[in-house]
Amino acid sequence: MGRSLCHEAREDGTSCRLVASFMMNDEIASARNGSPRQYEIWVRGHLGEIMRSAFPTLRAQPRGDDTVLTGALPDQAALHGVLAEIEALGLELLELRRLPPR
Amino acid sequence: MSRPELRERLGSARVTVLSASAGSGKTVLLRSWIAETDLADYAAWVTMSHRERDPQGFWLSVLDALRQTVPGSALVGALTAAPDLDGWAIVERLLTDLAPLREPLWLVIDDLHELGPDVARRQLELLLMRAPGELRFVLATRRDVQLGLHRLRLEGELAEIRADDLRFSLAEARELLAAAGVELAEPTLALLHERTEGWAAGLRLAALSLAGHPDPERFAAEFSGTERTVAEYLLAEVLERQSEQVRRLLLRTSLLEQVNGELADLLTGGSGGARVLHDLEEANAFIVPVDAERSWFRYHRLFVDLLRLQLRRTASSEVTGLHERAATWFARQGLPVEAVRHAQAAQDWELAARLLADHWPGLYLDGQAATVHTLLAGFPAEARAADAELAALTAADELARGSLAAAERYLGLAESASASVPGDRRGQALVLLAVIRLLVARQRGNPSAVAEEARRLQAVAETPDAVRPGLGQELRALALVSLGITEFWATRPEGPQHLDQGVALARRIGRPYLEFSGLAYQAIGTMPCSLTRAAERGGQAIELAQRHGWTEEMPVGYAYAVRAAALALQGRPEEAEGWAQRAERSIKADAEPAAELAVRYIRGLVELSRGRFADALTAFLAAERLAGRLAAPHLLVPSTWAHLVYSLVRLGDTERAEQVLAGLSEHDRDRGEAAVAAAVLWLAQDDPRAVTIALAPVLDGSAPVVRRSWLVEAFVLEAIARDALGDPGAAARAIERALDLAAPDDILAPFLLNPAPGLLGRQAHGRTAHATLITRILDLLAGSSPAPPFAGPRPPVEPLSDSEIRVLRYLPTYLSAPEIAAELSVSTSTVKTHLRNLYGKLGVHSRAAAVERARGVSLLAPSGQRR
Repeated sequence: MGRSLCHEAREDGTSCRLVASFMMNDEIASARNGSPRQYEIWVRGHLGEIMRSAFPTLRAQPRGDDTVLTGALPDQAALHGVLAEIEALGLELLELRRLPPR
Repeated sequence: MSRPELRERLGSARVTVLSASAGSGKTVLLRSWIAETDLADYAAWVTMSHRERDPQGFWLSVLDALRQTVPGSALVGALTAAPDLDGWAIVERLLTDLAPLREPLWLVIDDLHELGPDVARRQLELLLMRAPGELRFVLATRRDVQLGLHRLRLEGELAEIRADDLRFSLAEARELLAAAGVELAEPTLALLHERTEGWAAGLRLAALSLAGHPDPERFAAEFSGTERTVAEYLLAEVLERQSEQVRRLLLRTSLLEQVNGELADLLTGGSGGARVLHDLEEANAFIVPVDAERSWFRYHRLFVDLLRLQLRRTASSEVTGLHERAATWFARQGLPVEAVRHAQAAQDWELAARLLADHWPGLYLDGQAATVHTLLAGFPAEARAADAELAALTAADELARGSLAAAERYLGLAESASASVPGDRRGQALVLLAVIRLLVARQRGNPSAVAEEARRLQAVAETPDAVRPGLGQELRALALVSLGITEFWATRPEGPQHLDQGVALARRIGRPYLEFSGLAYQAIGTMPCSLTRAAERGGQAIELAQRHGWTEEMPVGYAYAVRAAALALQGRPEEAEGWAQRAERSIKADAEPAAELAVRYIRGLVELSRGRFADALTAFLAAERLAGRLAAPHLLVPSTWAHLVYSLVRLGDTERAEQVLAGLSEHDRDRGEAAVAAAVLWLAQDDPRAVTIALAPVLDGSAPVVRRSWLVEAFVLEAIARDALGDPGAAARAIERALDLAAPDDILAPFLLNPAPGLLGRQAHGRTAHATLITRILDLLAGSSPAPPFAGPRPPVEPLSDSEIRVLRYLPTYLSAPEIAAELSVSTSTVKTHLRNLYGKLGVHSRAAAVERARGVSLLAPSGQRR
């Protein structure tokens, strides 16, 4: 299971479908340790003020036609909360990346 | 607007899934499909709201929706909410009801992804697998849901409509805009279509903005030029075009799940809200009516989510106040769940806690335990621990989820906090706490603790200001019936009085489930004194059960058992048989042993009344074994021993009968039932003098009996013995006394089991007040032949456990044992163990045979037609 699954798919030019499970061994370990991790989440389009306010703990930056949401999330539950909000707002999820710890 | 290819796809397969993200047009497509194909009377529509997120609420909504269709109204039985309905049992019943379905019936479920708990999803999956072919499913969801769809796909039974299918083509976009009164130049339309990518919500939002827009080309150009997401950009446009009044209403009512004119005015501080809502609906602006009168409306999810965000951004200081206003309004309307949620959103924990505590008995009785759980989770943990009533409710919640230790911990917290409950609420809070303590103690099963809690409850419930009028009455009714039931099991004399009061109150305030449980226990409790009254109560309980669909719920088993016993004692065994079987079916393997004992005992009575003494013996032996597991003496134990002896005697095993009699405890030996059993033994051993000696304490009343039928039997035996001793006068007096006692309730069994036709014949010609009765008895005795062969299969002697029944329900599907294990989240070996036990209990050796046998005894729905 690689981290960049979605990334590879994008290179085909097709839009990426999210793979459901991101549980990897060290992720389980860090979840147990309870240390927050940095995430980057890419969605299509630019987010205006209304939609940004749905992600108060993340920074939204436009990148080309898309937006990347960046920030620290404490655990899987928080991550899934963000994903649920993305789904609820009808945003197109492109990619999800967990950044290596500093 | 019509989209014919999609519509065709909707009708094509047994299961259709529409899986696409928010705003793709699924709901609109489904509604127009139903309207245009004229399916309104054949399509049951279920929308997921908070009520449906719990399995019982979901299935109740499904049943309600089905009953509103033409085929469904004829086939699907009513079901009213009750504290602990089993979703699996509801599915089985639905399968039974729909087995005769011969015309297409559609079940449409919108927002399927909201079907929270795993168990409800699996129940739906089971329904999908076993439903008759004429039941068609249409499921709309925002994300793919696990429902075994891959199997359906393989079998060609699945049609899928996905996001790309739902996109509007250029032509369709033109049509949609035209329907909204918008005509665009081709290039403009193309621009719009490209920017929205044919996304339904986007096109509809654009239509709203473009209707009457002075410069559509510019609009399209600007829209095209922005990178902003379609939804946000267009929503902002739409909002900007509205009047201040409408904008204010939209934003402020966005925090509601549903809105009506009155609420809207309350939140905007204005008037004319109803008008605005209507106009929005007319303009197709993402608002739909939820009731037939079009007074309540719901916003489209996506739309309302964005509005809420905007509200929080632009008027965050007002949000709390809005929630407060909504909370009080809902509270006044008697809509507690919404009221509590809004109070919590306003962080008014005090208000939320009071509302929840006041409404808890009603929510509990309406089977909304899962909703209560969610509401409790909305309080901060400290509040749940520090507030006496919240702590008590949390205890009840933990109990419902099987965590006895946690429940007791919260009870402790509630106890400590109870001192700080303000005066006017104190009485009621103490009753609430006491009721929940009783429920927990009953679960623990420690009889002295249960008795103690019952005493405490009685003490607090009987103070005059114990509960407040109005809502407090529900708590009182719950307290009275719970008390009555507890006292019944402990055979305490206060039992009937509390049950009487509880049933009467429940009837007055319209709480049929409490009334029904109370009546069922009253029935079995009244049997000793008066068969007629018991049968009457039982009849009322059965009638309520049938009206509300509670025919499989535990309390009704007692009512069935009472009816069976009454019929058996009246010498009508064939009628009794059906009811005894129903009673046996309603007993689960892990039910209270006292309950199972009663049902076994009554099976024995029925067998006795048919003269099948070997079967009677088996039943009484089973009852006796259960008696050994009871903590407190049971009403029926002396009778069980006595009947055991009787059966042995009739089977000719007098030696064992003697042993049993000799082995009785002192308490049981002093009772009238034992004396009658001894008399039967002496009679079989041709010692009439010993009979009269044995019967003396019964006849003079010094040896108590639990039931009048024993007295009748005593006098019959006395008569036979006196007759044998050459004292016809005494015999006549005794038989007349027996008839006196038997007449009011028609207790014929003792005469049939101890036949004395000569004696009765003489009595009929002598001085008797019961000539007709005697004639009937003589007719029955004359016409009695060996019991007719069994009509229909008997249910398994040993009841199935819940886990076994769950496995049984999967047997008619094509799932293998490992697949069933996956569905039930247990190991394959566990499933195989259950299967072994199942086969054993059903007396079969194969899966197919198990299914057939289970269907034969109504443990499984009959098979429906499959294509």
